[in-house]
Amino acid sequence: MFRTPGLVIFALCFSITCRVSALDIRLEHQGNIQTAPGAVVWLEANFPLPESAPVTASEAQNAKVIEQRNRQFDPYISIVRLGSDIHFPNRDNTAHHVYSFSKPLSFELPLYKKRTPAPIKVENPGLIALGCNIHDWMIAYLVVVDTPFFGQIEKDFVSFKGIPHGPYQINVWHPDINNGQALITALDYQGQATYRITVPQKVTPKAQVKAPQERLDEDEDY
Amino acid sequence: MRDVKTLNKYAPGMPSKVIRHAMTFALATCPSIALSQSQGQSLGQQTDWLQRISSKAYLDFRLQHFEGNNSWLDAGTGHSRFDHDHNGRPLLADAAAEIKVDLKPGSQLVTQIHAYPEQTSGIEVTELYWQYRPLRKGKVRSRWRLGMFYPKMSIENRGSVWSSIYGLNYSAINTWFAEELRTVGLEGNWRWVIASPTAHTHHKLNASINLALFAFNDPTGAILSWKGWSNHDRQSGWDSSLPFYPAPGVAAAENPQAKRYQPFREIDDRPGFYASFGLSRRKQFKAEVYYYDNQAEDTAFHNGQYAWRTRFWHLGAHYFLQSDIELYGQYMSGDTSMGRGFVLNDLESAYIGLSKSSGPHRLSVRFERATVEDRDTTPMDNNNESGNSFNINYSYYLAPHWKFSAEYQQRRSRQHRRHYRGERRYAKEDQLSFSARYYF
Repeated sequence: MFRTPGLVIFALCFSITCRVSALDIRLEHQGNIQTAPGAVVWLEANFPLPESAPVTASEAQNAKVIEQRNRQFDPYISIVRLGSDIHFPNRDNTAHHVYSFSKPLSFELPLYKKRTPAPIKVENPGLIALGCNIHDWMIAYLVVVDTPFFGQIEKDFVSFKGIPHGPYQINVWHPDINNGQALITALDYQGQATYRITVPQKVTPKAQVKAPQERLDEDEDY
Repeated sequence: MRDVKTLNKYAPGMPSKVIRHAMTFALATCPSIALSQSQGQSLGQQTDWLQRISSKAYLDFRLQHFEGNNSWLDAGTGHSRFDHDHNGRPLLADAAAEIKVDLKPGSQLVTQIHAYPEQTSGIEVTELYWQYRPLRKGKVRSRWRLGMFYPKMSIENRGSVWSSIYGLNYSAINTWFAEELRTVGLEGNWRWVIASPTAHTHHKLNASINLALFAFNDPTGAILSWKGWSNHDRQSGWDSSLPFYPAPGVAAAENPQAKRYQPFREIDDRPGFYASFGLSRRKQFKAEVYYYDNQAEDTAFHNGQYAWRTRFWHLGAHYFLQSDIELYGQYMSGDTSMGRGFVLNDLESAYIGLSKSSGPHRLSVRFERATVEDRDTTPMDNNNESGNSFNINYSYYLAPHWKFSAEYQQRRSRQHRRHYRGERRYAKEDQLSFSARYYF
């Protein structure tokens, strides 16, 4: 009978000592939920992070695979931490020629059939737009951030765990939201379970452009 | 026609020979590279080269029934490729391949080859060129092609190895391109986005320009003048020579046209050009206007082949009424002249097509009109022709390797030159074709 309050008191004490907890971030417009599958969210702490915070990214966070499959990039939008290795395996039986002229990373990578070239390290933060010189419609986005707190909205929210309390700048980016400019808000995080960000305009985020059906009887180069 | 001889002195065959040999060499090196690399594969180092070669090919097995005049390929006055000699016989109508070799990122060697076992000539190299697509810098994307290739004017022939995606027999305009129009030169293409995707469409609105300088297409126009418009699917290659029957008035000229006609020859050493402007939005529409002028010196004559000054406007358009219903067409209007107006013809043709696809099924219909109007006064060389044709095609694509088609084509044409051969001017040509194409 006394166990539950005891646990609650214990949990409260624990959270106050560590001052870390979980946070759900949602997007909304005029009180309605704004869905944004694939939108990336990252939190930049405006204070020195305590040592217990995951300052160094785990190995999984340090590498990202952006496949070319069925003449599309997969995933369409990615977020990685600064210093990560990006792998571009070509799973198609056709050649690709991946390139980017974005400021943080400018490169070109000829990818012959079913090839996985050496990964590319991202050494500058920012937005990288990827294209394929052979297949015009192929576009993907890679956001490089210098913070351990980043995630991606699955449908209409993204959860962050183990965030130290304190003031943050929250950034949200999706190609169709806010005309492709990052939405930036300030949050003094003191253990709130949910934080809502208002988008300036209701949008219907477009899915990735579909590759035309591949047919042997057609010349896709025409 | 006296100045023709004088001009011959200044139109040596040397450059054409050099280029022909260069092209033959390049063609021969493609398979040898492939072969040497496949041998090197066991060494484990050269596999990358194999990865750089890609190919597309098909075999077209045909069964057809034709009623009408004998084929022009068999000395007849009919305009079809197959005639009643081929009725009910299984034919290998076309063995076609396209080979691409990636030399460097964005840089490719491309060749297209057709073999028509049912016809006299052997292998036709219909395209052989180097293509370079530099990475986009700024807003404009460019593409360069150097070699022998089709100008990308055709709306129908967007299929594998320049086949039509809507049917077996091409429209009159595209058949003419297949017979005697090719760029042997340099073409630049520039494309840029003029409007971003809207709420209704995923795709950008693109504008595009083509500019080309070319040679080796001086005889273009002869086949339209002396044979007329056709609907078939036989593509001439670099070294093609086609059977040819000039009208009596020309056959009696001082320098008679050779019995075999060679469409891709340099005769006057003057380059031609074409330029285009187009707008397109993928899955929605495309409209492109071209101006073509081979700038031939129309008094030049060399080795039995005349130079024909041929120039025309071409408009191609393609519009998606719905995502699976396409309306498309091409229009050309121009003229051709030989021997300083000794032969002077106005050329005009237009077609409109409607195609509905549903999964693997496609049903297409095409109506067209094509005319040659003789404007010279040369006796016994009346090239007047006017004709209509109708084509309906059903195809079933059994992914990924097979496509089965059934097609009915009707041509009705009135051509004066048939009269010189003791035949009626008016001719009916009806063709029913069944095709099984294996793509690999």
